[in-house]
Amino acid sequence: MKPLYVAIDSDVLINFAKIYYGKERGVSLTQNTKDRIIEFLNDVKSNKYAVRFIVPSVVFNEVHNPQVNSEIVDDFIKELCYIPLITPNELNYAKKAEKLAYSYCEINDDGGLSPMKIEYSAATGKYVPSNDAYIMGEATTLGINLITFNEKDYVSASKTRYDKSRAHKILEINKNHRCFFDDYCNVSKIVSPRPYHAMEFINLLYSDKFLHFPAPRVEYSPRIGKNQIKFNDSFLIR
Amino acid sequence: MQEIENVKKVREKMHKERAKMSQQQRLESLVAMVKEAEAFAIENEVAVKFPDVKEGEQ
Repeated sequence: MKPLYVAIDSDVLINFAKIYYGKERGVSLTQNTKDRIIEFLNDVKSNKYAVRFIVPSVVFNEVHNPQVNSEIVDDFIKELCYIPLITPNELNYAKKAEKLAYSYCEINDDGGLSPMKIEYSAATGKYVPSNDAYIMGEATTLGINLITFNEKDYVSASKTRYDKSRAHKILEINKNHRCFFDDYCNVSKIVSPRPYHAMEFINLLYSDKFLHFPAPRVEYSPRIGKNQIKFNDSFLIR
Repeated sequence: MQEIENVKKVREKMHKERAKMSQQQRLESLVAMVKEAEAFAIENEVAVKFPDVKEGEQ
């Protein structure tokens, strides 16, 4: 089965880790939702569904901050997640992710709201994209969808006509930036990355529908370890 | 949940720091984050290569 790569937001990473390891206290989801998630994670673990969770670097640094450092999150990353190896192209990756992050915050020509909010920092008097925008920018640069519980910022914050689906607007911006990738289920199609609510993603996966998800080219899968890599000016496969 | 609340605080702090930076510094900061994640990935054997993120691609 061909692996399906999806980026995960910090809230998904933390909630999944807590549920997976039975440390659910404080997880503000219904018992049905938790049961659905544990079933899904067990299916991923047993490879019934070849889903590969990708941890974007901004997410990694959020959860690895001394204020958050959580052993079960680290354990979950080691057991069920992957981290993208960009080297030696980190700078171009960063440029592209930032360019996209700013695009998600621009006011549309039609006067509609931007899908993501540019945030003001009172300390400096400057507007800059939030981490959320950078995380979506990273997922798009990698060519994969992002799954999140953060509906407010990504998916459907408002029911107004202009802001019915932020996810759709992000998809349109990604198309405008020509971020196209092969379709997971249909090689003759191309698709662009977008955010999904975590439960919408799980429900889609368990339905019989075709998943029109981007499927970027990924090398050296499964995991690359220390033994396969020689440190030089760049990482090289032996 | 405490961890989620802590992540929110971290995001706020990262956001404030980013607002103080020039574009060059922001990019350097993001590159540093990528490299930190890559180092963890190599150390813990959870790396996966995305070759389509190519040099010169904008």
